[in-house]
Amino acid sequence: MKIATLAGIVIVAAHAAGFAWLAQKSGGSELMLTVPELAVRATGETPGLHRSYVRTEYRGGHVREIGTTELVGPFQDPKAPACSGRVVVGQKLLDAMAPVMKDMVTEQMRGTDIFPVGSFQRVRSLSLEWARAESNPGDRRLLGSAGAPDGYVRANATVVFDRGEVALLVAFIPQRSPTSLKFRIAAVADLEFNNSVLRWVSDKLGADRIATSVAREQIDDILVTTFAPPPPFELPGGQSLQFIYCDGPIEIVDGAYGALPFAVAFTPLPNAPQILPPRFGPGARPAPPPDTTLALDLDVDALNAMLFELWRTGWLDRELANVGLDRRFNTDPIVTDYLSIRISPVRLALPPVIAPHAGALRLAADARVAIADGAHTTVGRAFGALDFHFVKPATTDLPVSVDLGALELACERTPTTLVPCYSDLVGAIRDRGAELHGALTDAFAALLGDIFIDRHLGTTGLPAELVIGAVVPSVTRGGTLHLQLAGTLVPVQ
Amino acid sequence: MLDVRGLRVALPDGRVLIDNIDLRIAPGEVVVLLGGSGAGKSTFARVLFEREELDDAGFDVVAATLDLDRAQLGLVPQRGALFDHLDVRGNLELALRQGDSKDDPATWLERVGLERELAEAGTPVTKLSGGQAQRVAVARVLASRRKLLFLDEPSVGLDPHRVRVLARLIREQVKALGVSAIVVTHDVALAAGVADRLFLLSLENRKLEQLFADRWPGALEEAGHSAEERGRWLVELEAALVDHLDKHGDKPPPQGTPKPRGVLTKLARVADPLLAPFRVAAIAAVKAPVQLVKNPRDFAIIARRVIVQTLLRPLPFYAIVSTLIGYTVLFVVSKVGGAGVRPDALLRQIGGSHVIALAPALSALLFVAASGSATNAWLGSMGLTKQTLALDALGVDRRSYLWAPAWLSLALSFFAVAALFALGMILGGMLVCESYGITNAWDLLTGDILDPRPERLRYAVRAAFLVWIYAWGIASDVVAKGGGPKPEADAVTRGMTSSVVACTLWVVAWELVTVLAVFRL
Repeated sequence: MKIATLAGIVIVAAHAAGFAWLAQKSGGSELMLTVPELAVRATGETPGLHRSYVRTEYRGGHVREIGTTELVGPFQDPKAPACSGRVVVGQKLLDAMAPVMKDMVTEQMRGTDIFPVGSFQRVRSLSLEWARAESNPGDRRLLGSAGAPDGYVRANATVVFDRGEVALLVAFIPQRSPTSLKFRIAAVADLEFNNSVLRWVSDKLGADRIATSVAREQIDDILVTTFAPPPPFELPGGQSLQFIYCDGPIEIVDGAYGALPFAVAFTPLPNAPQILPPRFGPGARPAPPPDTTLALDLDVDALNAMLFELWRTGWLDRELANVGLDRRFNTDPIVTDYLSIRISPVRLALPPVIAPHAGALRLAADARVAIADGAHTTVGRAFGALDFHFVKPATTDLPVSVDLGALELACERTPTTLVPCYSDLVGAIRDRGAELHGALTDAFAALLGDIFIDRHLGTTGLPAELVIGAVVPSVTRGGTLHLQLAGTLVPVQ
Repeated sequence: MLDVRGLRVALPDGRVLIDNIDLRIAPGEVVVLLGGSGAGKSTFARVLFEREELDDAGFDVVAATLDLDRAQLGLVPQRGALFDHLDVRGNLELALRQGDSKDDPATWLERVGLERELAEAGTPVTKLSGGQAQRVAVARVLASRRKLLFLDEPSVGLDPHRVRVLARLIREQVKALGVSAIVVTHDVALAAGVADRLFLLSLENRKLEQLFADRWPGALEEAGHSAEERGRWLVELEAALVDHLDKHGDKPPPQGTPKPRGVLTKLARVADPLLAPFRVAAIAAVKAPVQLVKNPRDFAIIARRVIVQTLLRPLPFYAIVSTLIGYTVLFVVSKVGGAGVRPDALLRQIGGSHVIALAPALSALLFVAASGSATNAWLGSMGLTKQTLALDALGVDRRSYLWAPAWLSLALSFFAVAALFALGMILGGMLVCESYGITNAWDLLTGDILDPRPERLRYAVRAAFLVWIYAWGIASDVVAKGGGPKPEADAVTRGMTSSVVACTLWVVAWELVTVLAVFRL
C-alpha cells in the first residue's frame, strides 16, 4: 500500500514536471522569414518596391502574414538621367508673350540708328507661333539646308525706322543638346525704302544680317527662358530639386504647343550606391488641351527620382518627423487608455516609389519604426502605400483624392529574421483607412498648392514673369502625371 | 479450519472490545457466537475480513495465533448483501467464477430451496424477499467453494419459520459440502438449530465463554431431536443469554491502556485520507488494463453503471449549464467595449480562448459535484451494505473488480463531459456571434482548440493537460473516498462532501500551477 501511495505521488510529480516541459515546448511555430539585410535586386519583371509574402491561415479567419519589401530594378542612371519630364508651352503663352516682347523690343531699340534704315521709330507688330517646316513651305529658304526637323518658333515683326520699315521673319530652331538649350536663329528681313537708291544699298550691305542681329539680341533670351526646364523647386528646410536638360526630341505642333524634355537630377548614396530610383521608362504623353498655357508632364521616373533625392537627403524623414505620426499615435486617447505599445518616429529604409496602379498612382514606402511594449522594444518594418486618384475639378473642389492603399507590419526577431506582429492592431487601423481619406486628401492637395500656386517663373532682366495661379493634375494611362498650370504674364514690379 | 489464540482487540482510545479469546474450529463443525449488542461479534468478523481496515482505523489487534486461510473463508453478511448492480444470476456467476466452477447457477438456487426461474437473466436482487436474499447469499458463498463460512446475523428480518428453514439449510450444506461455519447471531432459535458448539462473547469480561460445554446435544435442527427437547433447550439458552445481558448488558468495555503511537504513525493516520487518492491512482492504473483484458464482462458491467451515473443521467445538466455559461461570457465580453467599440471585433479577439480557459475548471468542478458524487454515493452504499465486504469474502479483489473499472470509467466520462461542456460553451457563444452577424462563428470559436495560433497553442496545451490531470485526479479521489470504510450512513455523505472539497482543491492547485508555468515560460 505504501508503495502504491508513493507511486501515486510520483505520478503526480511526474505530471507537474511533464507539464513544465510541455509548456516550454508548446510555444508554437510562429511564422518566420529570413531576409537579406539589404533587399535590392538589380533587375526584375517590373521595377519598383516589390512585396512578397509568406502567409498561413488559422481556423476562424485568423491570418498570419509576413510581407517583405524589395527594391527591384532596372534603375535610373544618375550619370545619364533619362528624359522623364517635359515642359509644354502652349500657343496661348506665346500669344501672351508677343505684346510683352513687342514692348521689350521697342524699349531696347529706342534711340537705335541703323544704316541705311535710319532711326528706330517703333515696332508696328510682333507675333509668335509654333511652326513646322512641312506646314510652311515658304520658310524653306529661311530655314536653310539644315531645316528644322523638330519644328521652330516663328516670329513675325514689323519695325518702323525713319527711312523705311523692316519686316522681320525670324525662325528660332531648337538644337538638341544634352547639357543646354540652344537655338539656331534664321532670319530674313524685307526692307521697304522710300527710294530705289536705298533699296540698292540695302541689298549690297546685307540688310538680312542686320535684321538677324537685331532679332538674336532681343528675342533669343526670352525664348530660351521660356523653354528652359523648370527652375529648382525650393522646398522647406533648404531642400531643392534640380531639373536638367536632356537629349530628348523637342516636340512642336503647328500653332498649338511646343514641348521640351528635361530630366531630374539625383545623386546616389555614397555608402549604398546600388540603391537607386527604379526606371519604368517613358510614359504616354497625350497632346495637351488647346487652351494650355503652360504644363508639366512628369513620368513616374521623374517622380521617383525626385522622391529618391528627397529620401537620400533625409528630407522625407524630417518631414515625417515634423508631421509627428509617432506623437499622434502615442498621444491618441485610445492608445493611451487601452494599448501598452508606443512607437518611435518613422524612418524610411528604402526610397519611396511611385508606380501606376489601377488607373491611379500608388506611392509605396518601406519604413522602420521602434515599437516599445513595456520594457520590450521591437524593430518593426512597416509598409505603407497611398493611392492617388486625380479627379476632375467638376466633381470635387480638390484636385487629388488620396486613400490608404496598404498598411502592413512585420517585426524583426533579428535584423534578418522577420515574424508577424501586432497584426490585429494593424488590421484595425487598416480597416479604418476610410477615415483617413479626408485628412490625406487635404494634406496632399495643400502640398500641391504649396509647390505650384503663386510660383513666379521669370528671368532677371525680363519685364514680365509668369505667375502660376492654379494647378490641375491628371494622370495618363502610363502613369505620367500631367500638371496643367494656369498662369498669367505679369510685369515685373 | 480456524485457530485463534489470545486474540485481543482494543479501540484506538484503549477500550477493550475482545480480550484474549481462543477459538478453534474443526472441519465440518458449526460454531455459534452469541452475544448482546456491542459484545464484539462484528468486531470479530472484521478481524477476519477487514484486518487492514481495523489497523488503519487505529484499532489495536493482537493475536498469539491467528491461523486462517483467507482463501477458504466465505461470508454471508447481514441481509445477504447481494450485489445490486448484478442480477441474481450475476451474483451466482461471480461466485462460481471465483470457485472455478462451471455449474449452472440455477442448480445452486435449487440447492438452497429457491426456484430455478430466479436464475433467469434480468431478475433483480432488489425484488427478492429477505428470506430469498439470505438464501441466495448462502448459495453464493457456497458456490464460491469456500470451506469456512462466516454467517453474520443471517436470520435478521426472517420470521420464525424461515429461521428454522435457514438453520436446516445451513446444516444440510455443511454436511453435503463438508464445510465449517461460524454463525454470529443473537437469535436463539437459529443458534440452537445449527450449533455444534455454542459460545458467548461476554459483556462482563470481553472473553469467549462456551455455553453448555458438557451437555449441549448438538444442532437441534438435525434429525433425532424431539420438539420437546428443542423447546427445553431454547428456553434454557434464552434464559442464559437474557440473564447475561441483564447483568452485564449496560457495561461499557473495560478501559485498557491505549497503544502508544509515534508522531509518524499519527501523521500517517491524518495524512491517509489525503494520500489515499494517490494510492488508488497507482493501483487503478495498473489493474484497469489487466481487468479489462482478463474479465472484460465484469469490467463492462461496472463501467456501464458508472458511465450511466456520471455521463448519461446528468447530461442535460451539463448541456444547459455549459450553453448558459458560453452565452453569458461572450455576451458580457461583447458589451465591455462600450460606445465606439465594435462588439464583433471584441468577439473575434476572444475567439475560443474563453472556452479553453474556463471549460476544464468549470466542467471539473461540476463533474465532481454531480457525477463524482453519484459514483461516490454508489461506492459508499456498497460499502455500507457490506457488498464490498462480500466481494472480498468471495475472493473478488474489489480493487480490480470495482475500483479499476470505476476509476477508468470516471476518467473517460470526465473526458466526455469536458468535451461536451466545451461544445455547449461554443454553441452558447455561437448564439451571441450570430446576433452580431459573425458568419463563421463555429470556426471562430473552435479555432483556439482545433487550430490555435502559435501564441495561443500553449493555452490549448494547458487546457488539454488540465482535462487529463483532472480526469484521473477526480477519478482517483472519488474511488478513494467512495471505496473507503463505511461503518455508518453518514460516512457516505462525508465521503461525498470531502471528495468535492478535495477535488476542488485539486482543480484550484493545478489551475494556479499551470497558469504560473505558462506565464513564466
